[in-house]
Amino acid sequence: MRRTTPFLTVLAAALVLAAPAANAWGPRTQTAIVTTAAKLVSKAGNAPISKMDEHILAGVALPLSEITARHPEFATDPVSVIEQEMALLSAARRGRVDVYFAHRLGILGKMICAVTAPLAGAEVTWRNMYYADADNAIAGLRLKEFPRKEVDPKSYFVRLQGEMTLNSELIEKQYKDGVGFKDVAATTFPADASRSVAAVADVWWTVLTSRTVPGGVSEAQLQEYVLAAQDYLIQRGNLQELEAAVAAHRQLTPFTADMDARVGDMLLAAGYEDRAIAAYETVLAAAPDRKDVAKKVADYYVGKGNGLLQDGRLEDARDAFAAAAKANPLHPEAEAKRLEAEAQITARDGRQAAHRDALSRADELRAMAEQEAARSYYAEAISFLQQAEAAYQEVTDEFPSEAQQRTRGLRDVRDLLNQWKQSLKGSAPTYSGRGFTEDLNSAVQAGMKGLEQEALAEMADKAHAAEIERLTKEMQPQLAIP
Amino acid sequence: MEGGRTVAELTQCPFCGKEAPAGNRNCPHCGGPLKQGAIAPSPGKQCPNCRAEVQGGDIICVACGTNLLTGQRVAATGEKKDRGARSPFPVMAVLKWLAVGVCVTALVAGLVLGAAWLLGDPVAKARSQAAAGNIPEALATVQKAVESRPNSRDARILQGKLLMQAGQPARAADAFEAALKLDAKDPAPGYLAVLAAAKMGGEEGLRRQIAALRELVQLHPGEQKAWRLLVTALGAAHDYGNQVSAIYDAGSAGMATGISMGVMPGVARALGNDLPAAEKALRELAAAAPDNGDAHAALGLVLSLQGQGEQAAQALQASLDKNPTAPGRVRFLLSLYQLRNGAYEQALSLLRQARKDIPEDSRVAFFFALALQQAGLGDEALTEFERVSSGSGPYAAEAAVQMATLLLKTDNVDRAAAAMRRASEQGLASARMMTIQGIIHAKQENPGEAENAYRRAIQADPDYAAAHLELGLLQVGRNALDEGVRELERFLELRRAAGSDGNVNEIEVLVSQLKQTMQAS
Repeated sequence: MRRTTPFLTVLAAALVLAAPAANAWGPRTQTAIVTTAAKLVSKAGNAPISKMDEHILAGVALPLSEITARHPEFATDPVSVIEQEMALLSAARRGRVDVYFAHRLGILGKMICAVTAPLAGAEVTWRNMYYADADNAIAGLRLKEFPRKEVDPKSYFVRLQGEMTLNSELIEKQYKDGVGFKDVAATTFPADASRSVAAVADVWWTVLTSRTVPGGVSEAQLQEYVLAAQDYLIQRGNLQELEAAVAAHRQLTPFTADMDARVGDMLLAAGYEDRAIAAYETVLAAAPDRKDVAKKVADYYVGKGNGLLQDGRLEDARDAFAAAAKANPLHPEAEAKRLEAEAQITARDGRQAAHRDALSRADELRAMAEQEAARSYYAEAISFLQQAEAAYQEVTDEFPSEAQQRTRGLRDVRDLLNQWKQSLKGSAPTYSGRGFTEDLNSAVQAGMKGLEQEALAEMADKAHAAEIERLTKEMQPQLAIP
Repeated sequence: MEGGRTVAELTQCPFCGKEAPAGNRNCPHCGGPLKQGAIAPSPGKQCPNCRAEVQGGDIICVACGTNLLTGQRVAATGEKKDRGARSPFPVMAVLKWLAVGVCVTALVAGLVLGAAWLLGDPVAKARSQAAAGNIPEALATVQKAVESRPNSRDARILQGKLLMQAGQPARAADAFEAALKLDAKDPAPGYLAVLAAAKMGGEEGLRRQIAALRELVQLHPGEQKAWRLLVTALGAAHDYGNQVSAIYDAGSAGMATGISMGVMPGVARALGNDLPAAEKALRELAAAAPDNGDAHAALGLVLSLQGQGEQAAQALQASLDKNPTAPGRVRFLLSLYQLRNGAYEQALSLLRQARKDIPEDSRVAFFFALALQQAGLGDEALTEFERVSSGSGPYAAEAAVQMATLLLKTDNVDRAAAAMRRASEQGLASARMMTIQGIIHAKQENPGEAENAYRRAIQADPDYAAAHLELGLLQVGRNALDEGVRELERFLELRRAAGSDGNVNEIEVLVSQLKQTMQAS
């Protein structure tokens, strides 16, 4: 081990110098490599990642430029980036091997493909020709299987680099000579591809099985991992996955208010507004001074309230505006809109009460009509029904339940009207005797005639009688004969 | 014969004309003698003693002084006593002069006593006679005193009192009035004259009271009592114009201030048909004397006369808690307002009490029955109407008609027809009655007779709405829709013109529906 160290160091330096730019296996070769590696790792037990091919391949499909953008040092020191990624994924594995983890394995696989592809130092033209030919040849290629081993990236990739460059110059020369992918390239291709597969599988194996706690992974990196995972899962739109992942991610690293805010932004951008607001509210609960978040919440609720108001969902609109005002009491519209919604609710409730009252009146009138009809008083019955019909017609279509009652009531009333009109003529004699009601008044009037004068005269008579009686008592002694 | 007693056992008192037991010496009513030999004065008769003409009711013959009740001469009694006072002359010589002296002394004493008897105060004598219960003799004595001393006020007053006791209030009033004129300073004889006139009763009695009171207030304008009596007497005489003048005069004399005349000013003006002034006076009285039941009652009556029914009913109701003097009629009137307003239970309660207050008023019984009917107590109403219709009161026929309407409601057509016959026999021939007869015919399935009856009713009173309704309904039932609807519309027209909406809506609907039916066909 000691003897190899200076050599490896030199190779590492060379590797760094010969770091890949856009050099890597072609896409089909990359896909074949990581797919095979996944199968190998799965076959080795513990991590059935082959079931997550879709996500691994999505990671592989990420353009190298994107990887370079995320990890600028990948262009100059890809092994360090691989090493960091391994450390990060090993740390992330504590949470859960989920689809995003698989996606990251795919990206890692792509990085390894880039590092382990031959002709890294060759001219771009011959290199691309080779990778294209390799892509064409990969379909029927039989890859060699190696036993899994734990990887120390620095030494591992230095060793691989040495193996890779053994035939690179010859292959390049043959391409220049027009031999192309026939001689050396073709014969070494299975070994080179198998090497890449083994590298990917070994690195993954190391990530998935390593018992050593990786150092050098910062909380910030974990948070970024978690946020990236959230973004990936949100973009996928599988909320069940998201729920499950959030729980695992919270074990991995505590969510800061800022993280929740960013998750909220992601959710909002993806159209998951309720979840976004829930995330924002979590932020506000933890950090009430986050005016930016409060504004987002308030704006969201105002927008939502406006929509609800337009749809006539007044209570929901009012609640939305109230939530907006609560989130941001200084919001320029929220309170005014809430009051407007309240006013509309009051007005609507008033209209609804009036409709219910009209329905109630109509029902009562109809009941009275039926009572009259039962007594064969069809004229009164019809009169009541016509009043009931008018009452039903006061009800508009605004409230579905009331409108339905109105429709039913009107139908019944009109049926009865037609039915009773037929019965009316035959019932005419039942009105006999009703013309005498005024006779009572006439009789009373006659009874009153002169009664006032009689009473007044009686009072006058009695007044005098009382005077005489009083005088009689007073004069009684004088009437006596002494 | 009556009750086992013969008519001969009773005799008519020749003085007072009332019946008295024949065995009695004197009449138990007036004290006049009943025995044979007693002399009964009668109009145009002669004195049994001197044959001078005497008047009916005279007690003493002014010609000879014979008491026409006893037949004795007052002077003869004195003579008899005078003769009874003499004694025979003594024979004994010794005592002759002594006896003569005694006799002379006795004679002088007798003469003095006789003169005192004959020449003494007849009023005092009459008074003592009256005190002894001998009213006729006292009357004769005082009559003589009046004749001999026409200016004796005491004699006149005593005469008046005796005449009052003898049941001759008209003559007593004359005597008191004469006494009043003899001494204008004392109003008492005037009041006694009023009492005597009141005892007379009737219109003449009232006329005499008023005359006496007019004289009294003329002589004694400061006698408030006299003014009150005059005002009330004029009211009782239904002389409301003079009553109002008397109130005015009393006021001018300072004897009718504030509310001293009670309801009289208001009542007088109301009965004199000056209703606004009456209302004003009664409102002031009611405000000044809120517990005066008559003030509220009279105010209610005046408001009722002015057509202010609601306010009238309130005032009448308020009066009932304050014991008005005419509670029966007040309750009756109030009950009629309650009936008109449809408050049948309250009307019933008032009428029930009014029947006790004025049981003689058959109108109350009729309206009581009507209230029972309106309150839905048909059976009770029927009983009451039956009672009223069986009598001879002014509402007997109307009660029979009401019975018929009640009986029709229970389809008791035959009894209804019988009730209508009774009403007819009592001379009733109103449009209402004919209409009900038509309904009875219709129920008896005799539409032709029914139609005739309705047409007769319309002829009797073209504006009687019920007849048009019944005729219209009959025609509709006979499918004569044109005429039927026309009559029903006439009914509606009359009802609207009368400002009544009772049963109008339903008939409007009926007419409207019938018209639709006609158009459809």
